[in-house]
Amino acid sequence: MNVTIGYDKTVMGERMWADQVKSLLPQYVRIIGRVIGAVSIRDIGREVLYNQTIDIPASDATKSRDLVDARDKKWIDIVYGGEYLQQKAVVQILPQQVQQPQIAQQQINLNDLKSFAEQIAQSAADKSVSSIRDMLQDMSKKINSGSTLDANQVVDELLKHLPTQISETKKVDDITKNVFVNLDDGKVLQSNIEEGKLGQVTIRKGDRAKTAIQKLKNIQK
Amino acid sequence: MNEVVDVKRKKGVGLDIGTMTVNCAVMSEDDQISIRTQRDAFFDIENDKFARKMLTDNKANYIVSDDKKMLYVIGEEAVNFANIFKKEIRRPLQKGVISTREPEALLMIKTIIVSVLGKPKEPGEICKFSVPAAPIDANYNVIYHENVLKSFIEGAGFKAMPINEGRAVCFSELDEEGFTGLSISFGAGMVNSCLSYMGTPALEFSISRSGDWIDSNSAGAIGERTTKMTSVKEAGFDLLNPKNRHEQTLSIFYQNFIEYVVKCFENKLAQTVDVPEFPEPISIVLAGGTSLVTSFDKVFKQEIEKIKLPFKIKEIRLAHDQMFAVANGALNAAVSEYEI
Repeated sequence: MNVTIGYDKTVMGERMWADQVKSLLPQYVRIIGRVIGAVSIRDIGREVLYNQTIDIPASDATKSRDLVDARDKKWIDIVYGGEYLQQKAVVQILPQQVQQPQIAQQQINLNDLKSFAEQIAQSAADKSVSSIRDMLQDMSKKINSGSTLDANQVVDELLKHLPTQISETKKVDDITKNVFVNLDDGKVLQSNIEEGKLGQVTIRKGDRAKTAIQKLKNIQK
Repeated sequence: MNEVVDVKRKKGVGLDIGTMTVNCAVMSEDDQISIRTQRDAFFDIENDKFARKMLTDNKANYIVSDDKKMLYVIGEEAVNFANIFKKEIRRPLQKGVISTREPEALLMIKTIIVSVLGKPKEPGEICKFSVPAAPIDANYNVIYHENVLKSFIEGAGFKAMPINEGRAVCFSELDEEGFTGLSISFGAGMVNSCLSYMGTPALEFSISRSGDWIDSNSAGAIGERTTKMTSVKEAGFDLLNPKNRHEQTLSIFYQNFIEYVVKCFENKLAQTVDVPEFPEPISIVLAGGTSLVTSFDKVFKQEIEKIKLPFKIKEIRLAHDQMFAVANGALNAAVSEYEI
């Protein structure tokens, strides 16, 4: 009697095999550098050169904020494995238990932040409060999202330690005007030169200049 | 050579006062740009009737010295005389600022500026004139230089407004990038650079060596005159493919100079705390007469790839008009002060 291992059983087997085979395939994200020089993905310690590709294990890629940042800024392109970055975590199908990487809880020491804020305030004594706020908000973005502190709380805390009166930035033109001394004594040397006629003349089309002038006017408004 | 005679033009003048050339740019009513260029150099010969006649017959411009004893031949003819008599040309500007070695530098530069500028279209017409930034590798300031030039230009009937040389290149070459990027002017006396975001300069500085440094050191290395090396350089050669001893020497010093400039950039940017965080990679534009040599951009790119910068680079390119980028940018700034 022939016992046929039914195709149905085989299909089920294949399905099981497929999952196990899949688990043997390495899960990785391939990226390519898109700017001159080297792009550093600091939080996972990887570097990719211009027009070169590297493979990053999917488990590393999914936890890397710098990788996503670099992709958003168009410093790198994702060649393969972009779907892993869509997932919150890589699904480990390996039969053995894989230890998940621990995301370290970042404890921000407010005293350290206070000292840093004092240093910033010292060097930023001539800047306006709004530019300092911008600087601090940029700094707060860099704080790991695993932190329990809210970014707005950090900014507010730091601003309490800044000096309340900060002088306005002086315009350079005003300073130049204040120290201007007229050195022209009206003396002129004799020459055989006709005024406004010295030198060779080159003519250029001004289409680009016209566009640039309009853009400059828009900026100055 | 075209002469611009009595053409109606828009208000606003751009003036690039460089160590090697003075360039004055104006824009006609039909949007053509006319740039008057004068080499900022002179050669002295004895003042006599024969010399004056010879120069005038050959359409050479000259200025009579204050004590009437000498004639200063100016411009290209000065270079020709220097090469014929195997002497060096003299310059009223050195390293980007008024020379302290030339006793008549002030009067010379005044005469050249006034002769190139001509009369204003209306009293108080805006003239944006280029000034260098303070150098990071030398101990002299540019305040006196700026003040002197302002005096002369206002004496000619204009309203003189200074504009940083690097920033002028930004206004000329980075309009398509929203005036965001790094613009560098490689002049004869100095390298001026400006890191801008949306037209606002974040960082302006200069480096005190440039084309003149290359010429004088190349000349010293092979026992040649500096003016001769300048002529060889300006005749054109390929940095990566020099053909003779003069070009090889120039190439060596060019590469050393570019390496030095890039190192200065790295140090300066590393020390600066308020470099803007650009949302996207930025362009670097190279302008100035010293960048005209073939393969300059290739060598610069090779060097910049060796260093770390606080921003990403999209591209490194030469200015559309390297020689006149500063004058064009100053003109754009001047014309934009008026209603179009």
